[in-house]
Amino acid sequence: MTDHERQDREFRVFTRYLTGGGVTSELVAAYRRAHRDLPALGDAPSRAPLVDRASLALARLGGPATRVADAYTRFFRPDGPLRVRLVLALALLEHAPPHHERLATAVSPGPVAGLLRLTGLGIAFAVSLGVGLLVLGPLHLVSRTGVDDGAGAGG
Amino acid sequence: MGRLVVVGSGASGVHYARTALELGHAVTLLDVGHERAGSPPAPDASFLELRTALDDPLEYFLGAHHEGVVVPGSRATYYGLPPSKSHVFRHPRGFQATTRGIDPSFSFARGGLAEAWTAGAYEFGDDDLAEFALDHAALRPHYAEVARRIGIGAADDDLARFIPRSEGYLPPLRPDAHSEALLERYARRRDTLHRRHRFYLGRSRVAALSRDHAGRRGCAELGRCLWGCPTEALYSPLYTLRECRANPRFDYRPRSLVTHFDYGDGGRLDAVVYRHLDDDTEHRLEVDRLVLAAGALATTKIVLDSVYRRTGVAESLGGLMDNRQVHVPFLTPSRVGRGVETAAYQFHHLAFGIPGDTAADYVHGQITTLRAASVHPIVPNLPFDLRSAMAAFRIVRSGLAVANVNLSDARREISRATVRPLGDGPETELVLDYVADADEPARMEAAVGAVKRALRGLGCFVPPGMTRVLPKGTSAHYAGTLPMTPAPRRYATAPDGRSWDFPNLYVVDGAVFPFLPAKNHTLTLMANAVRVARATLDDRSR
Repeated sequence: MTDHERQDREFRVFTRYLTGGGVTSELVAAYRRAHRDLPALGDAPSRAPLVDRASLALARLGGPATRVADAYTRFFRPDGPLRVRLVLALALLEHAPPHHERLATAVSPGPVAGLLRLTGLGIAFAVSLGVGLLVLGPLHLVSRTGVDDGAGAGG
Repeated sequence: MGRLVVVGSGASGVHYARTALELGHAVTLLDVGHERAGSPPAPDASFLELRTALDDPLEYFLGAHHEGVVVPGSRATYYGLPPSKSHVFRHPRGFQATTRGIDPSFSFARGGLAEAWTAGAYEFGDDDLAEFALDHAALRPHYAEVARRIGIGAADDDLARFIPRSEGYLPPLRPDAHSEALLERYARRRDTLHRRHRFYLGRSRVAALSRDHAGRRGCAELGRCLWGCPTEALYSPLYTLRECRANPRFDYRPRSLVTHFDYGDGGRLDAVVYRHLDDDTEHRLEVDRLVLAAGALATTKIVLDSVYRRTGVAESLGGLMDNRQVHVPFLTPSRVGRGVETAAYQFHHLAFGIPGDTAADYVHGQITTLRAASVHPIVPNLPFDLRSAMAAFRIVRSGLAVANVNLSDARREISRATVRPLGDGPETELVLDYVADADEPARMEAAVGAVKRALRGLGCFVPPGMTRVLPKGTSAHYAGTLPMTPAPRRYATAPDGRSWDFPNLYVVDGAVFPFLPAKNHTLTLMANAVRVARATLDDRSR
């Protein structure tokens, strides 16, 4: 798979993860262009620490795997290449129709229902984080004790 | 009066120029004047509607090279300036600066730093002006004149005890629901908040029009303030510059970087020298009066370079100041899940004051409730995976806000500005060395602690670990290097703005402030510029 094909597939997976929707070819092209423009994205996933490569590979599988990888990296690799790519995807989607309607607006279930929803989100996140610790935690330990210590591209 | 030349098209420069024109004088204004690329597009579209109204919304919001994307680990703030404002901080070729202890923003834009301001407009009271060689009564008519010119909204409220209000103000903008809720809660708990926390809340004074005024439209609540107000309701010095340019006695020369002035043995200026940026040619313009309004930092460099070129000595000026700012994000739980109007004025509706024993201790702040905003700089900071964070954000954003806490600064000789030669020629770089007051950490802790306690007293939740002390230089309220003094002093200015060293040189920007109160200083810059022009150009006032 070429880098472009990998980026295309990755963006489609991330978009489905973040919005549940699909993407246009223009948005995919924008995602690719951003990889050229942003130094934080670099060109070094292959040289990144093991935990970064593993979290990217896991996230690219889609479905719950993306969430697990995201949950883990939120706390343990917040500036890492997966989080950078997810935030880039979010930045593009929040300014692109029709995704902006979901991402740039608020919902109004009221304070009580809102707090209940937040509780549900917190529980779901905790489960994802737990799975992430089991899957990626050991790899992170290996990264920190190995030769390619965690200072790879993207943070 | 012979040739009158003003340097800089920021807040003080344009109001000095306009006043001079009104008094019948001809004015030449030299300006680098970097411009925004075109007018704000789709002028009737709201923040959300722009996504469908524009051919390329990604370029507009994120920039042609994605410079508007705030990735994790970047230095950008969570509300970072959009690409449409990139011209504000672009430097002309050859301008260099080295800084320590301060991370300033230099602007060579047409309209100056106020092209990127949030329009807070607060008069200084007598306590704030105690170290100035004037009092509020001396500034009052000029505050009123500026309010009349630019349109400032204000309300009668508890902030009146700290913030005077001259004539000519407009009603304030319509507050959003979250701001209204905070005001209602404050009204119910006022006595407790005053007694326990010395916390006073009111409407921020804002240079944004609540109704049509002076040829500009009132706020249409489009939510595009940060990206550039398409209706001109939010004041920019560009509008006053436009008024000046309509006068046949006004000669506006953009693309002109003033490098220095030439002067004789008695300090009298002969000419101002500038480099035209299009062809790099040097131009010498004879002057009878030169008025520096380039912003404290650029004005300082012009003065230092002028002395260096004539004497070979790189002088050093002390007293550099800037307000320290701290961001305190908070959540109002009762507002969670209530929805948000993104088509609304985007900047702050509320301000607060916490008095201390002296004017230096007074803490000033503004509260901005979250309405229209780019979400990707904010959401990754929530303690969830990004998908859950987005879902959570959509629920809580109606209750999110940030208190921007400002502290005063005082002149200290140890904080200095000088120039350093770049080679054998006359070119130099500006060198700034700012040393924070040893008391500043304690003051900050006390101020932020008081704000947090007050917010809790309002029923708000202040999440731990999210308070952010912004780097010195962020507030862009630079001041103090050529202070106003009642008696002659080297590298200082008289109360009428005239340099004690150079008899036909005037300074009207923040360089002349001998003290920097916690309140935003832009309105006082404008009023002082009007005052100096009237005092020194109006024959009737002599």
